[in-house]
Amino acid sequence: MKLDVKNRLIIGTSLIIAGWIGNSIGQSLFFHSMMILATSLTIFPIAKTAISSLRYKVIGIDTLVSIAVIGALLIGETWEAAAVSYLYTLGHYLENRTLKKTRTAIASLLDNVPKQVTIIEEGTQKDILADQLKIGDVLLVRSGERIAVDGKIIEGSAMINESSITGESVPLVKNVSDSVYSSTLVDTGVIFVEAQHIGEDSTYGRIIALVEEAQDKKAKIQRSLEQFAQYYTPSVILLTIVVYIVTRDIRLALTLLVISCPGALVISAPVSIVAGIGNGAKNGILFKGGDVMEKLSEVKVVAFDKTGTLTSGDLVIKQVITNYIEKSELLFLAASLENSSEHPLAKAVIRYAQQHDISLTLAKQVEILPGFGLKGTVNDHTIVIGSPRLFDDEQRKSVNDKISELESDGLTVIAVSIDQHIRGLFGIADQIRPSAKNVVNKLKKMGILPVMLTGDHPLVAKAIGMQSGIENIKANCLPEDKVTYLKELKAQYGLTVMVGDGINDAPALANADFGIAMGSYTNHTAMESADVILSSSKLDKLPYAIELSKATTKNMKTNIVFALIVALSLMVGVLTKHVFLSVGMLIHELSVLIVIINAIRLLKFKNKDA
Amino acid sequence: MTTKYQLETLTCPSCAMKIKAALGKVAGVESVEVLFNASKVVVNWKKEAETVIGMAEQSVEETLARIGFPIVSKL
Repeated sequence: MKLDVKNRLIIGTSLIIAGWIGNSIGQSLFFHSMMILATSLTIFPIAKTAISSLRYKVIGIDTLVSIAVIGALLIGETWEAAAVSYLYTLGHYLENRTLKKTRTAIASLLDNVPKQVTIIEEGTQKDILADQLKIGDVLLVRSGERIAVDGKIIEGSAMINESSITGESVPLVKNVSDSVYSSTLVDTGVIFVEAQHIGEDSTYGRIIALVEEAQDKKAKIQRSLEQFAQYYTPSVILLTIVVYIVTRDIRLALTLLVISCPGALVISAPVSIVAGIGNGAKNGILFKGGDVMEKLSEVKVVAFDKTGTLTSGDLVIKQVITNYIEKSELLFLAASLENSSEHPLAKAVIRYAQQHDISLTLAKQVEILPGFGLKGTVNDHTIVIGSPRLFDDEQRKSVNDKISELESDGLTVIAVSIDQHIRGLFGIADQIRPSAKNVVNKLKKMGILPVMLTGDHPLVAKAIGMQSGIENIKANCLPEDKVTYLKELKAQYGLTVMVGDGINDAPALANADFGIAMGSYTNHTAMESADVILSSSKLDKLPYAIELSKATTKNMKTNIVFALIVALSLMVGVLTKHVFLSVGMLIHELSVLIVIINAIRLLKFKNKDA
Repeated sequence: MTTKYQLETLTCPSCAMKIKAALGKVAGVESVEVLFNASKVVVNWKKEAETVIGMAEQSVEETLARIGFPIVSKL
């Protein structure tokens, strides 16, 4: 039989029980032999690492426990020696198992990445390990399988569930030349995918890497604890020596050694954090560290970007106003230019043109103007599209009334100039997210002030504000205005969080106390600069993220207070001779277990009304 | 230059201190970072160790095994 920890514990338990039975019938020699056997069995691995650590002049808890156990044997306290060594081993065994549990949520993220993949090589199928994949490999992915890489479909089509990346579990239809992402699930269909990004370079790989990194980013409170623990152990050892010299009480000195490692204290914060971050990751919320959760739990103001955050960002043209031009001609010129842009506004224009059966041509000399304007040449006409602010008063004169009219309807206005004359206006509306009102309400209930920052016109902002319940609105913001206003909010109310989609508001996200990016697992810049990333466009994850942060921080604080009280009581108990070796060890190990079990509760944390 | 190791699940944070202290004494090691929750060790090498990295890594691996933290994989 292999003498692993489990077997050592089983045999140790039997020996101790046998010893006590022997003792009850007066066999004290048998009792002592059994205890010495149980001690040797359990102390052996501990002493072994203790001795090898000594070679590196490192004193760990194993060294201290070994000294205490051997000391107890030497003074004839065989039961105490057995109990300390046995409890230490049992404690560690249980801690090991429970600790693994706190990490399950994070570990399970890895299950979304297939270990084995089928590739097509020289026309034949071949199964290889995912580690061996190279960029450019062609993967065959069948229904029920997860995709192992970020890449492009080169053959076939499928319904793909992208919930692991976007949080949205309604499957999407993907065809040839569409992008697919690592970890997403092929619901039905068969596709051949050319690998473009693999491993840590894929979107999902980045998510995992970020979570892995996050779980060891320490909360502020944790750093001071670690410093405390660093001095605590040497101080107690010193105290042990002093106590022994003064009192000559070897039992007291040995007991002090046993309690000199504040295990529960050092473990209190990390276990809460790993469980909290794990819970977040499972729910599509990526926290960048324990410090981030600590901060978010104290947030006073949430500043929302409007477009793409409070609104879905799916823009729709509601009105077109022409100025001495045919509508079809205006649409043709404007949409042809916008065809070279990826901006949501451009997409709205193109979609509208397509709905009106207008075929487009290619624009030339296209350049991007600040504020998402666009300039270019279409059929020898110079076209400029953008906010009316892009044009001077002279050009705007003829359409100023119309602009105000559209704006008072709460529409965002885009002007189109053809050869230096504004010939058309588009009134564009954005749809508010269905969850926006509910989210704003929840924030208010938590005592958090919701604020809207937008580059849009005040009337447009007001319309969205009315629908979502936000009274504090700052419109007409340039990116730098957002940064200034965030500073003002912070000075007035305290910790301020900026929530944005990470595309329109990167500077604000980076400059706020704290940035939350939404729906941006595929937006790598936003992932770098934000502190919290909400997968998908689920704005309703925001209150959950705040509540989870509060719960995690509270859990961590409870753990720390509990551990401090235990350490203090142990010290008092030992010095007043109420606690002796075995009881000291029992309380020590129990306190570590309680701290871990308390943290595990965080894995089950759920939003009550989500 | 750094080398990252995945260890078996770390269970006591005092292990972190122990690993740090022990590896800090290995030749060629500039600094050591122990990621407790991830159960990983990150070793930053001194410049002069980079030419004999194989040997330096081997002594770190041996040290880890000896103080009771066997390596699961090199990352």
